[in-house]
Amino acid sequence: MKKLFSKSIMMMVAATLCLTSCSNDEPTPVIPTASLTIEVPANLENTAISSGKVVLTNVQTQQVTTVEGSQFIKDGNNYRVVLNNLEEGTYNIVASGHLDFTLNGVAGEKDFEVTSDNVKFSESSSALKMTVSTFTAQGGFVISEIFFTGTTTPENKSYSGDQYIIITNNSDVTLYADSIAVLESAFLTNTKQDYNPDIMSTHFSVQACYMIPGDGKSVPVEPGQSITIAVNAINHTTEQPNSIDLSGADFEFYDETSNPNYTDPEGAAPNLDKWYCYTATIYQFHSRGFNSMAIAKMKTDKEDWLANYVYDATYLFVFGDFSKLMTKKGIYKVPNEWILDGVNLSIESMREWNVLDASIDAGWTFCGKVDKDETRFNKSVIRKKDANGKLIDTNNSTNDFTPEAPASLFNK
Amino acid sequence: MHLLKFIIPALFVLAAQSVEAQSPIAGTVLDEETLEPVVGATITDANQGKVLTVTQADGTFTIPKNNEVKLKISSIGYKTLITKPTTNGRYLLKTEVSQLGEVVVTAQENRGLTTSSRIEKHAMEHLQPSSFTDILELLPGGRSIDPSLDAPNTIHIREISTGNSNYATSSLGTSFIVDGAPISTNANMQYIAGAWDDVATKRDNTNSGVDMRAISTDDIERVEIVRGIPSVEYGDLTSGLVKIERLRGGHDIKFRLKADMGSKLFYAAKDFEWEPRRLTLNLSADYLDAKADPRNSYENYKRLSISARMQKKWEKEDYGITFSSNLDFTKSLDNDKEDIDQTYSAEDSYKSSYDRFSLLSAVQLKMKQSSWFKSVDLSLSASLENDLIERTRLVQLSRMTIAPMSKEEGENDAIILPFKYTGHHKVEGKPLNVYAKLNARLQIPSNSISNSLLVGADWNLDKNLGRGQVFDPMKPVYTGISSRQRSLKDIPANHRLSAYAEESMKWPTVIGSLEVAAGIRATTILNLNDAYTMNGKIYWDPRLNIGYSLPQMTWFGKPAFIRIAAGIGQHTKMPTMEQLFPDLLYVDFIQLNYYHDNPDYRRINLMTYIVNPRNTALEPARNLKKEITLDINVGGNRLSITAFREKMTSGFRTQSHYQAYQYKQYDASGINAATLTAPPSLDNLPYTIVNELAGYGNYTNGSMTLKEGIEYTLETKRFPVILTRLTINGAYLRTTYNNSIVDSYRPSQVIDNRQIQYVGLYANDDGSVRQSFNTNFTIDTDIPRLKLGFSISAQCLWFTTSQRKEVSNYPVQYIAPDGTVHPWQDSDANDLYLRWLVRDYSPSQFEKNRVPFAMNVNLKVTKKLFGDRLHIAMFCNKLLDYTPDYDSRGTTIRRHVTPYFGLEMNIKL
Repeated sequence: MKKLFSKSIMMMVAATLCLTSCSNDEPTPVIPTASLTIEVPANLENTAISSGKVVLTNVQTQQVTTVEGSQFIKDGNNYRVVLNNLEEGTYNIVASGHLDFTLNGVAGEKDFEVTSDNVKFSESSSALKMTVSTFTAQGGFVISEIFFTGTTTPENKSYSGDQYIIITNNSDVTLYADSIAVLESAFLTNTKQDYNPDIMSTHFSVQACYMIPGDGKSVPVEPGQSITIAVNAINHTTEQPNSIDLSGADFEFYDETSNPNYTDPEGAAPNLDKWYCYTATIYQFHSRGFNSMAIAKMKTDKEDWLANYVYDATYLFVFGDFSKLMTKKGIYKVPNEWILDGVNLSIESMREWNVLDASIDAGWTFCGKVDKDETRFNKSVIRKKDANGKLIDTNNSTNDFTPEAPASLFNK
Repeated sequence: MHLLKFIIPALFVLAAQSVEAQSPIAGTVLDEETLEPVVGATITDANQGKVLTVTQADGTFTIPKNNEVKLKISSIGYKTLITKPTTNGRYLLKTEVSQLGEVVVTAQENRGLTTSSRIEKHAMEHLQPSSFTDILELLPGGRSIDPSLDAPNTIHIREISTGNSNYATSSLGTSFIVDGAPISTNANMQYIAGAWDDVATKRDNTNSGVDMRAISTDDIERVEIVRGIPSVEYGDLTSGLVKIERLRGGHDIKFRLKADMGSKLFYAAKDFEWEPRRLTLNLSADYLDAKADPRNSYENYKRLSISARMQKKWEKEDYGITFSSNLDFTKSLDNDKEDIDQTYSAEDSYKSSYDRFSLLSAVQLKMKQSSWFKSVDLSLSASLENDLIERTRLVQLSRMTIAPMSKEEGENDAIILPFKYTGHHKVEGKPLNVYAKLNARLQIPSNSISNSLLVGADWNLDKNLGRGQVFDPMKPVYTGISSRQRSLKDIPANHRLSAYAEESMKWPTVIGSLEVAAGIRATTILNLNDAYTMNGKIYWDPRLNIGYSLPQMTWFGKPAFIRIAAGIGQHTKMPTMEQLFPDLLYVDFIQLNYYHDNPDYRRINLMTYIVNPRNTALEPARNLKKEITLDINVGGNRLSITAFREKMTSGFRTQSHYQAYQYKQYDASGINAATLTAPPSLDNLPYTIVNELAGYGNYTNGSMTLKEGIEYTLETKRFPVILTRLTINGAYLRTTYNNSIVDSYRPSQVIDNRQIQYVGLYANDDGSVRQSFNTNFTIDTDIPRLKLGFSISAQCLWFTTSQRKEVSNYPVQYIAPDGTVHPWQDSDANDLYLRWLVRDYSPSQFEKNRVPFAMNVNLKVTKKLFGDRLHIAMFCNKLLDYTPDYDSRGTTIRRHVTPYFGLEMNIKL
């Protein structure tokens, strides 16, 4: 009885309330606990929504219900918003917020706002899902250009200080480039050896590892935007009219040395953190392109990597009339899972193999067709774009790259 | 010559006195074919069978006057002669096996006590050489190789060279003597400081001895290459002696034209001889033009030699005087220029020329009457070279680079080079060599032992009058240069003084004859300051050769002779000028490296240290040779086998040293590039003091070269019907190289933004063992009726091996960044930085590498036409070959051989 009584009291109160808004109607039923689930793309990890907000506008009453992000309940990759005592009805819902996440280990972020109109909440449909579909977070950082050949002087001598590599955020989310390392292969694509143990299917063997410094969220790159990493981030045209102004580069490979034979000009751009390099001289890309290049998200710290990611290989060296079992030390390795993108470089007449696993790059690209090809200078390998302006990344640089393309930063 | 004027009459008076006192019968015993003296021939009274005396080193003998006597003259290898004596008679002995008229186209083992190869004019004509290098094919262990005239050729006697400059003492220590005058390379300073490119470094021949390309073969009458222990008369050598004697006299006008796959040679000579006046004059010139690649005319080597040689003899009853004088000029020119049509760097060129003028004057006084005093020789030679290397290169820098300017130690601002300029670098050397030698041959009169005592002294001066490295410091061809210009004139002259004495004896007995040559040579280097260990020190080279010839036997109905000879000797080679007085090194550290778009605001600040890499403890390289030879001659077929062992523990090498230096590392990050109006000031710039290790090299005596082996030569007589002679020669050689000192290595890897700051020290850190065994089968046929000669040489290389000395991957000690030395602990191999000092030699690198059998067949043909006036010759090396594929650790190795051929024409008018 008591129960019935209290129920009838509640209904009366509700009816009174209803009368004040919708005249002459029956009181609108209220759903005690409705829920809305915001689904973020499943490939994101470590997601976190900040400044989240869900705004429900009742179409009939124009009544607005707002739930702040602090009340979002994280459930795996989804966020559940609990709506207490929501009136049944049709709503227009706007869910918005700022999503932080990692994508393949790379920190990223995205503001989102998804809307869903004329959504019915009723006793029978009290749990709704909203999918954040304004971005897919597909793709990620890719190598969009490697200018490894250098330029030529008016006297036709080669000038290699103006080499650069461009990394582009090929996703539709902002990604952070911190702790992404530029890697150069330890093995040459023109010299195949049967290295033992063969780790290529699991690791990339590198002779240089330069990492973009930062605290993890220092270097945001907007979707479709690029960062340029120059060997020397200076305006080369002041000394070399045919060269390129790289003073606006985002980072540079700087080699600190006290040896006057290897003076590396320090440009204004921040320097990469030189974790490891095989040589104490000036670091430059292989100007004929016999080393493959890759970018990787370093998933451990420098000390751990330097201490624990060493690879000692042996191989049979054959030259002329002798052969010897050689040990190759001074190789570091990077797990293939850390690698975001890689490009095999070689030239047709000299190429013997790919030094990146086929899962990273099943093809290869080039500047120059024969060894020491004088025509290779001033040319670059540039990733192609699809009809939507997105960079093509099928993990096969033979398809994905335009070889021997004019370097993109000329006259910029 | 003043001295000579005084000495000659004085000696003559002494000699004349002894003649009068005894009034004996004198005579000379000579070889009938060669007219060379027969030494140690026994003179016996034919009637009584009493031994009267033996002939001396010059073939002379004296016996008491006795009209009745009949002489029996005998010597092993000769037919005994029985004759009546005549006053001052010449007695010609026939050899047991006549070689008269024989044309020998191979090298012959010398019949003297030392092991040496004699190569005569005929052999050279048949070989058709372009330079002296080609002749070495004829030595035991030699094999024909394609001429490579685009880089210096150095000699390697009894050695399988690696070409490693740390083991170049063997070629440096081989002395070349042309008509008695040495070719000195001690003051050769022709290297380009700072050069790193192949075009310049491959032609650097400093401290490596004589460049044999520059020795023309056309005037050579005879070469003797002493592989064994030379007489103490010859010094400043460790490994060998090459004695070249050039033609004197004759009446010919000669031309020679030679062309082969890489070179062309033209030679012209005119010989004069005025017999009644005993005067000869020989004039000759030759020109060689060689290309490294016949398709590339821009890289070539040219040589021009001009020679004038005169000799005058005065023959008196009691003495003879011979005066010889040579005047020679050789120009040797390496050119390497870029082809303008093929490449862009049209200005780039390399040119290295050696112009050598040499003058020799020698006088010999020979006494004819038997006495204690036999002869005296005085020779004086001088050579002046004008050496010039010119290197031009268009330099386009890729980054801010400093000019090598600062000559003071301390902090300084570097001058920054322009990014583009044409660099010129010259190396001007003017080595001057003066050499004087005085020899006297004496003998102690004896009727049972033929003996000769040689005493003498020589003095050698090497000085370089050139300006050395000459370049504009603001336009250096090589920017990494760590030395500064210095005039070579400032380097003290190198004086070397030696004295020597050697007794040679031959004692013929019924149980065979015993020969001994025992001598000692003392050498000291003068004009060195007290700091040097060598200062005032005398180095003694005792040398001994002993031979025993068995009495003549008969084998298979033929006369047979057997001789066993053995020798032991010490040899000393003084360091060169460059090894004694190397350039000062300037070690610079960058304290600030500030780049700005505006060149006026750039600044590089340096800390400069000066290191003197002079090693005052450097001593001469010394080689101890031991050898034993068995020589069997049966009816003119001769087999000679020599086993040798030469150990040189103090060869010259470069050793690297590291030490710690301090410099300031300025932090330029606070400089605001936009507000600068001048280069940034250092005054308020923060800095940290940094330790850094830097290395330099200096010369030490740490290289050991051990040469062991067996050399053999079998020469047959010419078989009568087929007119063919067989020569089998070859050698088993084993060369061991070893470094006896600690060497250092700093890994070049960069870990966490800094190059690894540790240097490992490794004991005995270098070495290899190489072996080779070869046999050359040469059949040469000489058909006098057709004036045709040809030879086929099957050159078999049975195997070669090479094996690196096993060195430890682990250092014994290491140098820390502050310069302190620490012992290596096993646990260091796990340290993040120290583990890089563990090197990556794999055991297989120390395994023996063996290359199996290979054979090349060479053909040479000579034909004389028009009454010997025209002489046509051709050669084809590697006409046939057998070089099978072989397996090396699972890999098939294929070998390729390309024939090499040439043609020449000699005209004699």
